[in-house]
Amino acid sequence: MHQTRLIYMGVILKNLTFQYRDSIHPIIEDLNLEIKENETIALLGISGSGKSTLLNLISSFQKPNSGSIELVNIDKSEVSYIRQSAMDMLFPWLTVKENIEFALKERNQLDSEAKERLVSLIKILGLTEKVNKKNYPTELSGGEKKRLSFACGLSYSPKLILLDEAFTGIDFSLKWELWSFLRAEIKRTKATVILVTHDFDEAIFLADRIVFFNSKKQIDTKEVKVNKADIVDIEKSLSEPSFIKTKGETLKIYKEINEAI
Amino acid sequence: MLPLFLAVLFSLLKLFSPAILKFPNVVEIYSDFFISLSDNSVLKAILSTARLILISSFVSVILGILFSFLLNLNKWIWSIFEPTLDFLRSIPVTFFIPAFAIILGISSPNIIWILAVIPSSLIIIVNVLHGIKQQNLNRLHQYYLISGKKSKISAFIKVTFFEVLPYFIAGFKISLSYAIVIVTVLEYMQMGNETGLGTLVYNEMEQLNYKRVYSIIIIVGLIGYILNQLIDKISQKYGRF
Repeated sequence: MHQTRLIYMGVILKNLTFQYRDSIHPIIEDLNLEIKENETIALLGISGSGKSTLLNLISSFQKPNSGSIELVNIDKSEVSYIRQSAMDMLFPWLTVKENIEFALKERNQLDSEAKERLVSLIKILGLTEKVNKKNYPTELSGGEKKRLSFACGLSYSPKLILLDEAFTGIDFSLKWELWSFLRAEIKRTKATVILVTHDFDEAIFLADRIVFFNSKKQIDTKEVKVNKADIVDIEKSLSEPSFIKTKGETLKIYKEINEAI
Repeated sequence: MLPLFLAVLFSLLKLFSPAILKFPNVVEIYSDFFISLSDNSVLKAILSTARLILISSFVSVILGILFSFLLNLNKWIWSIFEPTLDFLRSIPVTFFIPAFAIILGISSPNIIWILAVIPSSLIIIVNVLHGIKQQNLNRLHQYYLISGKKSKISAFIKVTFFEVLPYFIAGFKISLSYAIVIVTVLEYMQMGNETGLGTLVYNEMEQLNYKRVYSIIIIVGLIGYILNQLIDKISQKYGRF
């Protein structure tokens, strides 16, 4: 048991409570959740149920009123937070290349090996032309900014990736492209991922487990386990029985939770 | 284009030549303006006034940034100093003249730029603090996350400084205009500087040399215009975001 604990890596939330200063009720109350090493969980729930607040707490942007957040064998510097608004992640005074290199430069880790990895990351995300042209983030389209935010967020191979509706507001083809890219990155880096989304397809394609936030600001005990081995290609998967079955199950629980309140 | 338009407009309205006062016309003023540029006393006055404007602007920038940073360190410091800042901002700089005249002496060569520093630095402080308040906190948090650093100074240099730069530039432009006004007006009032453009305007007025008075007004305007253009160029290069 002791040995298992030593090699364990992940996130443990214990009796977590958080209330905004102007609010009457806590947005998160007595929340308990455990995310294991190399596990991707998707948080589903209605707007205002505290999903994004939870990511803010895990990333230390906000401090809980009570309870604890334990990052097991993950240093705070190994956390990445990719947000819905790409510009919240980017530094507009730096070029595209400078933005991508920024994290590694600040950590004094921009060696030749890291540079090679970044070149490949830039290529995969289709940003080579923007890097060569020395463009600034404000000169990019919405989709390009989104790609750049992923490049920045993943440049330092984080062990814990937090995604807050990171795929909202982009077209299907780019969304699917980024889903596939992210899944490959997670597989490569063995990162633990917490994904906040309203998109069932996204949750099923990326997550190992879907947990539900109800508006009582607690995680519901019901959860959906996804067999990711069955879902390789998103376009093909959408029409596959296992995908449709998981989606139906997810929708059923989602409706049950919201109707019960 | 604007000076030319104004010249034509003023000539048509005969603003430069009321019959009784026999003011110079536009052609006389502009020709004197070009002549004055080769006049030693005018050149000396330009250098003297520009020097005071630059000193007061430089000191204002240093004080403005320093105080903004200190006031931003925590909310407690800010809540103590905010009423004082608002109080000082409400007082016209001319009201400070007697106090500084007693402290420094009315003929002190430093009295002009010191008085110019008061409103100029206050404007910069208010603008920079507003910029700090408006900065994107998600981006600041992002810096701490991706850099793996916790240092507030580092975050200020790498993120806050750039976030605040457009606000600083806007404040600096206004503070520069203030500095020009205060320096020239105090020179006109024969305080501290005996060789500045303000003093020269006063002397030329005394001698009823109106052509030169208007020439100097154009020169002061040009100094402000050139300095503003310079700031615009710098901000386009470094504050383009």
